[in-house]
Amino acid sequence: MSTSDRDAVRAIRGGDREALAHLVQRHQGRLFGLVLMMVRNPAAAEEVTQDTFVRAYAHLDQYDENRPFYPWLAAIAVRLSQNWLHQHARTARREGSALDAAPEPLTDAGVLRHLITSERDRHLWQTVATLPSGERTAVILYYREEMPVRDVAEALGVTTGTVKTLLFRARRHLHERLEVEDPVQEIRP
Amino acid sequence: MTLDDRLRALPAPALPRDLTSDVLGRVEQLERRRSASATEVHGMRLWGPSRAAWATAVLLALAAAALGASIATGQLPLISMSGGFRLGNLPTRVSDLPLFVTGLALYALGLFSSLRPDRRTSP
Repeated sequence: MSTSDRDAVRAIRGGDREALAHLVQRHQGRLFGLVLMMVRNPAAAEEVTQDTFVRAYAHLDQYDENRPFYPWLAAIAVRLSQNWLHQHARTARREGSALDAAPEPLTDAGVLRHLITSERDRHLWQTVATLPSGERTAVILYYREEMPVRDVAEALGVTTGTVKTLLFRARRHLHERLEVEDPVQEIRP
Repeated sequence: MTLDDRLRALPAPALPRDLTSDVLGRVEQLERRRSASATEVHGMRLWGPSRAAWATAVLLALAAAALGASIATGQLPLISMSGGFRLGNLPTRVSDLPLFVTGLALYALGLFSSLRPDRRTSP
């Protein structure tokens, strides 16, 4: 945990709302990217990102100061995103074909253009976004968030072996879809 | 550039707007709700704004008061003459009164606890 995060958490526990504002400003962009990749809907990602901060504030007494803050926050975001996905899937089943036929907003280049300006990066984002939910979450946490496999496993609620399998499959799928020449290698934590 | 390198360099999408004020607003609401439910004990709202619970409490208090008054004055409790109660089940000595009132209070406590489980604090 960075010193500033630790200080902010202590200040929040002491009732300092200004410290909470600083913490939100520091992590909201990174957290939004994670949630967006999971739920693939910018409006829903905003909502879930807010929910994550509020949930973290409400359960701040359960946070262990000796551990890094962001992985704890990311674990909450992953759980809330998974809840949103399950709820969304239930709604889609209940509403029938109308929602099933609706395109995923993140695969829509027009929507993504506002969020990522580089065309090459956008293409990679869109490709990662087509991976199954577990694989794309593992990819974002391991590569972009630079979290160790152990922390990724904790955030996803699975074993480290499962995370390695998810990453291996994700890389294989991405190789196929991006047609890159890099050989598939085993992930080493 | 390998795939791993490209994934590590995957940029964060731009956040459409600052969420700070929204989050602080929702935290404010959360704190207000917490203050309003200061009577919560171990996840149970004992004296929440339930009309049924309050009506039951008033009836129990009146019954206890009538019983106490009748014992103190040496008269038979009015409630025993209306049927449904047998005199043998009711305390007939002043020394029994605290035990009886305590029993009523515990009954009321258990009733409210079962009536008003608070689900908002569930994880």
